[in-house]
Parts: sequence; C-alpha cells; structure tokens
Amino acid sequence: MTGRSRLVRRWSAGLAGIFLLTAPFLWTKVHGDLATGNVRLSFVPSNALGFLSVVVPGFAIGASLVWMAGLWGRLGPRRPLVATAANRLLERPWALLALGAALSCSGTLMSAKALSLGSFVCLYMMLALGLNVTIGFTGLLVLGYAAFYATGAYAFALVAKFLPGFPAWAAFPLGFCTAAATGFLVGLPCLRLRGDYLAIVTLGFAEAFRELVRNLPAAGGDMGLILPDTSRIRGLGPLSAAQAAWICGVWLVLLLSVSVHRLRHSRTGRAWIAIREDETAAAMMGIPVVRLKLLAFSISAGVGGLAGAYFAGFTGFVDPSTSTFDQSVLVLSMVILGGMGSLPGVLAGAALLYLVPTLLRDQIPQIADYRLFFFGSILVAMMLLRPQGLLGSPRHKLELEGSG
Amino acid sequence: MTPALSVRDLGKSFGGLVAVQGISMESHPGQILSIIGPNGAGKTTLFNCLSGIYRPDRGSVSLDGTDITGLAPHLVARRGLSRSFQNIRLFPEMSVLQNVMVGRFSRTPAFPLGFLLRTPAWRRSEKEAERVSLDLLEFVGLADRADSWARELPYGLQRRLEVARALATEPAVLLLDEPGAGMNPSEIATMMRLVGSIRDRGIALVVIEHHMRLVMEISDRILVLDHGEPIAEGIPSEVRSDPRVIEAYLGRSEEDHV
Repeated sequence: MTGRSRLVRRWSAGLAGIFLLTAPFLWTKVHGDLATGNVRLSFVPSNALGFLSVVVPGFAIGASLVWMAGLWGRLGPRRPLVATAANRLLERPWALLALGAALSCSGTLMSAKALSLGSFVCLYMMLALGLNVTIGFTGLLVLGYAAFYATGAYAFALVAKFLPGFPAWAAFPLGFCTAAATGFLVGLPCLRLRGDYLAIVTLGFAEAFRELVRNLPAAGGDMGLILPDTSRIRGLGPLSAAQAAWICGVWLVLLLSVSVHRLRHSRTGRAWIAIREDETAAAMMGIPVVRLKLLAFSISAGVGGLAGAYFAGFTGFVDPSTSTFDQSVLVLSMVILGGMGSLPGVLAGAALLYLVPTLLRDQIPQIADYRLFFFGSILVAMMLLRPQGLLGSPRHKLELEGSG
Repeated sequence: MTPALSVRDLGKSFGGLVAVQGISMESHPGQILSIIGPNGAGKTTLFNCLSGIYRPDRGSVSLDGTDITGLAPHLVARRGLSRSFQNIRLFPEMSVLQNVMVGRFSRTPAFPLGFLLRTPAWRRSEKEAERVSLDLLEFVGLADRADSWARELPYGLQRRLEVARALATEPAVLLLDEPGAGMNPSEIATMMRLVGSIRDRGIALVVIEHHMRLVMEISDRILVLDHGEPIAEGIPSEVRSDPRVIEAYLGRSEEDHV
C-alpha cells in the first residue's frame, strides 16, 4: 500500500512540476515590439485550460496503463500468452500464409480510411521490426533511424523521376539495398568503437540527410518529390490502389517478420544476443564483433529503406519531413513500448503508438501538439516500470529455439 | 613434442606500471600448468595478453607453432585458444543451452541464406550444434539445466557453464581463471574432477588458482609470478620447497597457520 501511494505521490508531483514549469509560457502572451522595448505580457487562461484538458486525462490514462503493465509484470503469467502465441505462429509458414490471405481478403471490405490506417500500421510495423534488429537484438542504440527510412523513400523517388515507369515492386529491393549500403557506410567508422557512438552519429546523419535533401534541387528541396503515377502502387484488376497498398503492406510485414524471426533463431541471431549480453565474452567465443554489429546495423537500415520505398509507393510523395527526429523517436518508442527484442512486442507497439494518437487526434485535435510529450513520458515510464516492454518477457525466447 | 601454447619473454605495461614482464612458458596437450602468485601479481593480465584482449608490448605467443601475438580475441579463439573469466561472464538473458551454442559460432558454417529458407543443410548444422552443446552440458553435469536461464543458475553451476561454453569452441588450449573461486569444498572437489577430465581429453590447460591444495594436487607444472615477473617454475614439489616462493607467497600463509 505504501509503495503504491508513494508511486501516486511521485506521479502527481511530477505532473504538478511539469505544469508549473510550463505554465508561465502557456498562460501568458507577449505583445508589442522587443526592439522598441515596449513589451507587455498578458494573461491567457484559456491556453492553460486547453493544456490541462489534454494533459491531465492523457497523463491519467497513460499512468494507469503503465501501472497495469507494471502490475502484470510483477504478478502476471511469466510467459505472456499473446507473445507466446505469436511466436508459435511465426514458426508455422502455412498459418502465416492463411493469415496473410485472410488479411488481404479483408481489404476488400475495409473503408478507404481503414485501408489508409492499415497501410500506415504496416509501415510502422516494418520500421519497428527493422529498428529492433539493432536495438533489441544487438543492443546498439540508434537515434536517427528515420534517415534510413528517408534514404529508401528518396532512392525510389529519384529513380522514378529519372526512369519513368520504374515499378513499385522493384522499389522494395532498391530501397533495401540503398539504405543497407548507406547504413554500412555510416556504421563503419563508429561500430569499431565501444559505447553509444552509433546513437550520436545516426542522430547527426538524420539531420544532415534532411538538410541535404532540402537543399538539393534534384530532390525537390522543401517541397519534396511527387512520384509519377506509373511508379505508385496501383490497383490491379478489381482492386483499388488503396487496397493494393494494404495487401502489399500485409505481405511485406509478414515476410519481414518471418525473416527477422529466422535470423534471430540462427547462428547469427545467437551471436547478436551474445554481443548484447557481453561483448568481450562474445569475442572470446570466436564471434567477430565488429562485423556482426555492422551486419545487424546494415540489415536494420535496409529494412528501414524498404519501409521508406513502401511509404513512397503508397502515398506517392516524399519530403524532408520523413527524416525528422520526431519520426526516429516515434519508432524508438514503438520498440521500447512493445518490448525490445520481442517481435510480437514491437509489432504491437507499432500498432498501438500509431493508432492511439491518430484516432485520438480525430477526437481531440489539440492532442497533436503534445505528441512528443506523451512519447517521452512513455519512454521514461517504461524504462522505470517495465523495461522489458509490454510483451517482451525474455522467457518466451526459450521454448522456440531450433527449427521445430 | 611441440607445445600447444608457447610464450616467450612476454611483457605488458600500462603507462609507467609494469603489469607483467619476462614471462616465458610452455603448455603441453594433456597437461595442467598452474599459475600462482599473490594478488596483483599479473596473472589475469597475462591471460588477457594470451587471449587477445590486451596486445602485449613485448614478446610472442604461439599456438601449435603459429604466432598469434596481438591477434583479436575472435581470431585467437578460432585458432584454438579459449578461456573462462575470473568474474563469470555468461550471457545472462540466454538459456544454458544457447550459451554453449554461442561457443559453436566459429565451428559451424555460415549459410548466407540457408537460415531464411531453413534448408536441410542448415537444419543439420543447427541440430549438430545443439547435439555437441548438449554433450558438453552432459560432460560438465548441467544436462538437466539446459533450458534454464543462465542468470538463474547458482554460482557454482555458472562456473561450470562457463567451462562448457569455452569447450564448445574446440580449444587446443584452455585458460581457466580461478575456476574454484568462491566455491565451497564440495563444489571445489567437483571442479577438480572436471578439470582432470578436461586434461584427459588431451587439452592443454593453464589454470590460475588460489586454493593451494587444488593446485598441488592437479598441476603437472607450476609457474609462480610476483610483481609481474616469474620467480619460480617447476613441478609442484620443487615449487613448494623453493625459498623464493615461500618468501613471496607460501611462507606468509604457512606462518599464519602456525
């Protein structure tokens, strides 16, 4: 009881602190001209009320979710049922084919809005799967993952611009290879060093990449690039373009899930986990640590690039905002919320963190302003209360070792 | 007979501090060479130089006649030298079996795409890695704990798992850094039997150990270090009666007992 009340007190104190710190900026408005010194501050209570009306319920919902997750972690089943079931599914190709077919068919029944939401969920699932390879398996922090997503998207858009009629299906391997090669070059200097250099270097690379495409006339500058119709994901026979995009996304997610799962349960995957657990001991087991880290990071970047090509293929445009820090943090939050290293976990994290804010935004438009605030809170809270993520119990890795 | 491991005039300093110097030794297949010496004598530094974690400043290390001085740890391991660590370094969030299977890394083929399609050849190689690892767990007496988490094993069993994992790399030379540290007498007895049966497999063993009874009983030869330098080398009875050793190391503890 005392533990819980202490927790409640800590949370409310934190909330009050955030409110007090932000209040002066939210409640007041600056009038006049700073140059002439004729400045007047006025009190705007409605701003503060608007802030409160979003943050308080949001914080309450978030806190109770995290609290339930923490409770589940302490008392609940040691092997989360959802994660176990999903991992079993990944071992059964026929069941996955059936699932893919069912989801594809359901595309014909979905509304245009549902198809768009579904395609974006697929997109973020791909990104989360890719980032999980470096963060979850190999234990390397990447803070600029969106750069590789943007690399894939721009590679596709640029090739489509100069090669009219370049088909969307060919863009997936193109996006993968371009981004994997970029990842290899970015990782080469910093993966030879120990420590979190990769985090800083990727962070810088993402910013540099955005400035590069903003200032490159061939890449369309701030306006970005619009893909020619012939290169977009198009309808086929009775299928509309939106349905084709959804079906394409479903199969890409399934393909990537199986590939990443099989990679994890192989000699390479074991070596990655060993590096994450103890780098020196892993090297002593004959594992070329630098080479395997580079492999993990290149694959991760490649999957990001594939997702980028998919994004460009179904939305039909790319612009520099694909490579923002927001995007990187969003994908990072998905991986951490769902559970680093757990495939069902990161897939669930991606769906939750895309769908919840998007659907809430339709209901309460102001919430969009506080997106990053919530992501930050989720990251901190998960690290404190359930570091293994919602579905990420390390125990589920055990029972499915081997090819089955 | 060429020695499995041969070290010549090895030296390593950190800044102005000389950690080890002038060390020469040979280790033969099926024999146990023990390294003893007071704390800070440079025993673990010596192991780090042999296994590639440190690059020695002077001297040479060779395995079966090939020079391995200054090679990276994973290349040293591939050439047949493996080790355990003084402060156990397992992979805690992996199962006991997986820990040993990691040791098979350099002894299994890569299959660039075989793992994706799960080709028969890939399946065979995974099964083989699993079988070898289970055999090694059997050998160290951990077969019934194969599916436990490494971090859940009691201390004494973690030490044995570390030995099994090191054996999985198929070493010709195995370095054990204080295999009996922190163990109770019955665990030490088990560890002694294990070390003996590793020797019987024809592996050259180099063991750092503090338990003098253990050292005197199992060693074929003993090398004594003090302040980073070798002060005596020989069979146990010679070392036991060497006045410099008694002065530097054994003497003090014998006086304590009197």
